[in-house]
Amino acid sequence: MSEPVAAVRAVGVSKRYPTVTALDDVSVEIDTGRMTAVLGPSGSGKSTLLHCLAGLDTVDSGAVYIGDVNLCGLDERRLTRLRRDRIGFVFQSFNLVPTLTAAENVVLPLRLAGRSPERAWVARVIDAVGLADRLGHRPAELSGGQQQRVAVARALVARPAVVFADEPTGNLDSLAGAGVLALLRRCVDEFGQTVVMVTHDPIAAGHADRALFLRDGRVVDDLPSPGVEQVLERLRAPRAAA
Amino acid sequence: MIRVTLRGLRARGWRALLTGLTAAVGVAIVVGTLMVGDTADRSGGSEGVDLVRTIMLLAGGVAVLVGGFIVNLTMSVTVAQRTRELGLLRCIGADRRQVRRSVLLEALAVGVLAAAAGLAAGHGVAVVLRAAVDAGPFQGDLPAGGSVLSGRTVVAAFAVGCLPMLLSALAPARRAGRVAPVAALREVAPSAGRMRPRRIGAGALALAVGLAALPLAVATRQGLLLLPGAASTLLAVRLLGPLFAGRLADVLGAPLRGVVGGLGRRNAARSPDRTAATATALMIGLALLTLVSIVFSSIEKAVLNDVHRDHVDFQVWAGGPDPTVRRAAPMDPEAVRRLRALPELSAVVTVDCVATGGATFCAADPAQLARVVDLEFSAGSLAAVTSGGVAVSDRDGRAPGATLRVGDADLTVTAVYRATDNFNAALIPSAELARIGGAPYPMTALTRVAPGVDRGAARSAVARATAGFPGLDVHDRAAFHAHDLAQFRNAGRVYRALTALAAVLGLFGVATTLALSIVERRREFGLLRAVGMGRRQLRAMVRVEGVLIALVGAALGLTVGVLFGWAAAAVLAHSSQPTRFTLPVGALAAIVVLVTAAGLLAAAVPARLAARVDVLRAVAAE
Ligand SMILES: Nc1ncnc2c1ncn2[C@@H]1O[C@H](COP(=O)(O)OP(=O)(O)OP(=O)(O)O)[C@@H](O)[C@H]1O
Ligand SMILES: [Mg+2]
Repeated sequence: MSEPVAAVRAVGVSKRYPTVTALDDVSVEIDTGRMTAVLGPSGSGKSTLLHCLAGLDTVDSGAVYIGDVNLCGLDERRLTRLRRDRIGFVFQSFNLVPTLTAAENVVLPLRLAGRSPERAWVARVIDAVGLADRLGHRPAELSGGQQQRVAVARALVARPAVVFADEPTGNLDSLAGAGVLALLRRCVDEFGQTVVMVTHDPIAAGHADRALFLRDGRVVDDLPSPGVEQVLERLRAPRAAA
Repeated sequence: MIRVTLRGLRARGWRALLTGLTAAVGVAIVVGTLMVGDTADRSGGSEGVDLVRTIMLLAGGVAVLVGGFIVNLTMSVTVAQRTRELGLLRCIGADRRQVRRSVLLEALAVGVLAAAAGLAAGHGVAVVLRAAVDAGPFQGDLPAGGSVLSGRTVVAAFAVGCLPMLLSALAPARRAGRVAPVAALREVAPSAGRMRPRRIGAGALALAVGLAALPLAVATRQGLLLLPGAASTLLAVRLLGPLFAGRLADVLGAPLRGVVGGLGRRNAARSPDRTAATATALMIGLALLTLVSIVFSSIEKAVLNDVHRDHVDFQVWAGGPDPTVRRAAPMDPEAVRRLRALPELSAVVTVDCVATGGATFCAADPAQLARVVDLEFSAGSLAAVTSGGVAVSDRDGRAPGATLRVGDADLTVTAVYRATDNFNAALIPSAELARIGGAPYPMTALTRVAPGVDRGAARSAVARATAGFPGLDVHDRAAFHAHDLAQFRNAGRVYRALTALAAVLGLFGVATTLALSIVERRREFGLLRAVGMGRRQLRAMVRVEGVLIALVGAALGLTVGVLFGWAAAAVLAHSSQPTRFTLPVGALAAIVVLVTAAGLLAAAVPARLAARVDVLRAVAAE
């Protein structure tokens, strides 16, 4: 097969809150070994989609598959295990457990699973995020950019099927943000990691292999190899039309 | 401002509830003890009733102390958690006074509610306490009928509910008033905060004073010195606690393996001040419990030791069981002869005495006496006491070589033995009795049942032999000991139950603080859940934290309790109460096991709270 198998699949996913429909019959396939950016105006359902794809939230209708596992059929314990073993997360902020050092935060998912970390792989991941000299530090002693890089290392360490990142650069200045984006890009290129990233930033989206545009809980556009210009244009277009 | 306060109170309902609940439990215990005390008041003063009242007042006082501690703790945690919100209030124009007043008003509202709730719950406590008192050694001392609620109790309830609340809110309220408006804009991590040197200095001083009381009290035999000593030590632990509480939790948690245990251990150590404060609240009750256990087991040990050294089965007195009468009335020698003739008895030892110059001197055949009581000589021996010498008991206090003046002669102490509760006479050779004055008479006969003879049969034989002699009283030592010990153990149970109340209140503090800090760390729990921590692991982590905090309290409580228990036993050893210091290892181990179990219990609700944290809520940026 030359066409990559979908790492994550959403089939007709809807998510309704009492007053809004956050996701409205969304069907997407996330390509394995690629970086997918999710864009859209505030309140369009980006975070909700990410949470549903990652098994952090339940869907009201439709189905979500990680590989060939249907998340809807899983009970709480299996879902937790799946998150631990197959999914990595990078959040916008507060990614790290404050009482643990950077190194301990990185291997936390493995330790929770009762697995002993593979030395060589951990070393490689830590080397990739460039934090070899900060391993003994607590999160409070790290800059925001460093904290996000530790979070990326943690997301990678269990060799998950997919890494989800919700505005991972949202709290960072542009330089630190660029560092984190380059790092995520390297994960895709070097480790063949599948990455899904929510972002507001057209430049961030420019690092991606594909851009999904959401509006009012629907996927309204799907750009392969988006350039910054294109993204800007798409983001602006509907507003111009309105 | 009042509207803001009330609305804030509603929004933080659960926090207010936790603070209020602790205060209410404290109030309930105070109310319960006061109600039982008032019942005692009603019945006028017998010695037992006075004791009940005193014990109840003491227990109530301890409850006030511990409750105040916990309320103080929860208030400061709550205000710390509100820093952001108060900063926001400052941002939109509230001045310091308004912020301060808002905090105080909230405290007052919670205090009033807690007092009302505690007043109601106090009736239940009174019923339980009453049952404990009635089952114990004070059986029948209290008048029948329900406990009364006096005006005094109501006033005390509101004072206990509101005053610690307001006092505890004062410092946080001042701090809240100082919250910089920018605090609202910053993510404020509750800072560990450096300890001020003044605090360390005061703590060290309090510790020195507290510990100095120990040798001082023992040396001067002033047990009362231990009270301010203990108070000062408690204060020292509260002040200095943050210096070591975190590390102590870490050390106690050292045997825990695995990531969950490790995280729990770090959480227990992460805010040393809070851990120290919580542990101190628990420590007070546990220290008391330890102290009471030690004192009672030390006394019991001494009593049991007396019992073991005493092989007398039946003792025959002239003049009944009243000791003042005993001394005056000599036994008829014919009665002694009849007792000696009984085949049921293997030993009949008479102790002959003369009373002279206000003191009584006795003589008994050393070999015979040794068959009915182990005198355990610490110096010399009875057989070696010669003319001009005297053997005294250790309760007499005289050392070998000291002299005793009798009339115009001097006797030199040449032997010292350990008194029993039944035997502490000054012993001299038989031949000397007549020399120092008066006519010697047999004062008592100590008898022992022959091996293989039924006790009941021996008892009737002794009764028959002494039947014809008015005023002779047969005393069954074994039955007496059994009754004595039963009384004593009952009293121990009442004391332990009362001190355990304080420990229970302390455990409430552990649960409250734990619940508060869990809400504070909601995002962290969400994060852990997101990266794959199972609910069960999360609960285990919180339970580890609870148990470790409780164990820090136990370690501190046992240490302080053992120190002061030892001193109390040492002081008592020189009193009329026979006491031998013993470490009730079994009881102390039981305390540790119970505290561990109770720590698990205290952590149960917080653990469930934590496990129920919604991953999404926690993860989504606010
Ligand atoms: N817990 C909730 N309860 C009710 N409505 C919710 C909840 N969570 C999200 N929503 C609504 O669902 C919609 C989608 O929210 P979502 O957080 O996915 O938006 P988003 O695209 O991530 O926005 P942003 O770029 O601001 O982060 C919004 O209208 C939001 O108000
Ligand atoms: Mg979002």
